[in-house]
Amino acid sequence: MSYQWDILGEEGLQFFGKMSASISHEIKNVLAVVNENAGLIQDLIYMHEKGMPIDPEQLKSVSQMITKQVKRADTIMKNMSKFAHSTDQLIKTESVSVNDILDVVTNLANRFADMREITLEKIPFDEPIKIKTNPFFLENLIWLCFDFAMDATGPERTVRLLAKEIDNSAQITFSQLGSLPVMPLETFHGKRVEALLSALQGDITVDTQAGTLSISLPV
Amino acid sequence: MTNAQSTPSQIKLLVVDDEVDFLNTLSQRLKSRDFQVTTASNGNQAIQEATGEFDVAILDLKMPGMDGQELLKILKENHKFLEIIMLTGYASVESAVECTKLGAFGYLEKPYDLEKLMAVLRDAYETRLKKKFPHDQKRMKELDTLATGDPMAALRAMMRLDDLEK
Repeated sequence: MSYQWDILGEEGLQFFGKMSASISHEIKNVLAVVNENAGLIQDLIYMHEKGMPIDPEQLKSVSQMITKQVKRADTIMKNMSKFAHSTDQLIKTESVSVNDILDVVTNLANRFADMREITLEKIPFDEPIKIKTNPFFLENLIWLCFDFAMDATGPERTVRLLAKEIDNSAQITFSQLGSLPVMPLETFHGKRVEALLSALQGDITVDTQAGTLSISLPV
Repeated sequence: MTNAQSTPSQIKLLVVDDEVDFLNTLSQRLKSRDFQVTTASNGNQAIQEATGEFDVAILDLKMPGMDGQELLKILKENHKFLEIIMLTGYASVESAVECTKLGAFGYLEKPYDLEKLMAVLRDAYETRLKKKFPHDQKRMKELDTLATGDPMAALRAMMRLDDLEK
C-alpha cells in the first residue's frame, strides 16, 4: 500500500468539492420549493383577508408538499453526513460495508446521472460484503468509475452496478457500458486512478466486449 | 406541461423547470396574479410549447438533457421580442455573464422573494415593449413613467400599452 499524497490530496479535494457543490444545489432546490409554498400560504392569507374563503384541501396540499421537501432534505443531509464522516480517519483503514459505501456514492452520483438522463441501477447483493479499506479513497475511486461509466453507457442509458465476493476479493462491476469500445481508456486510467488503486491495493479490469468495468479489492 | 387559456389582456409567461413541485407552485402563484402561465419540465417540451407567442420566459439553468443556457439560445434565436429570466440554485459571475451574452434579461438565484421576481418581470416586459415599438414616442414616454413603482400595477399598465396595437 502506498500513498501518493500529492495526487490523492488534489483528487480528493476536487471530489469532495464537486460532491459538496452538488449537494448544496439540491438543498437550494428544496429551499426554493419550501419558499414558494410559504409564499403560497401568504397569498392565501392575503386573499382571505380580502374576503375569499380558504380551502382546507389547498392548505393540506401545501403542508404535504413542505413535509415532502423536509424528508427529501433530511435524506440528502444524512447521505452528506455519511460522506463527510468517511474522511474522519484519512490515513487509516477500517472495516466497512461495501453496500454502505456504494449507497453513499450512488446517492451522490444520482444527481449527475439525472442531469445526463442516465439511470443508475444497483443490483441488490446476495450477501453483505465487509472489507478493510479506506472509505474515502474507495468512494473517490467508485465516483471516478461512475463518471466514466456514465460517459461509456450504451443506448439503454443505464449503468448497472453489482458487487459480489469472489476468491477473497470484493468485486464491484459497472455494466451496460455499450460505448466502451470507442472510449479513450487512457484518459480514465491515468495517474488519479492509479494512485487510488495503489492506496486501496485494488485493481481495475475493463472488458470492452462485455461492456463492463470492474474494481477488485482485497477482503 | 400545462397551457392556460388566455384572455386578451394577460401577460403570457413560459416557465420551465425540471423541479416539478417548484414549477407547479410558482405557476399557481403567478396565475393568481393574472398572468397566463404555460409550464414545461424540460427543454424539448418548452421548445414545442414555444411555437405560440410569449412575452417573457422564466428558465431554470440546470436541467436534465438540454440545459437552460441551450434553451435560452434557441428561444432567443426564434423569438425576437421574447425576454428571458434565468433561475439558478447557484449564481456565479461566470454563468451570469454567459447568460447575459446569450441574451438573458435577468438572472435570479433560488430561493428568491416573489416580489423580486415581479420587479424583474416588470423590467423585462418594459424592455420587450421598447423593442417592439421602438419608434412610438408616445408609448415610450408612458413606459418611462411606469418603469418604477409597484411591479403589478406597472405590469397591468404596460399590458394596456401593449394592447393598444392589438
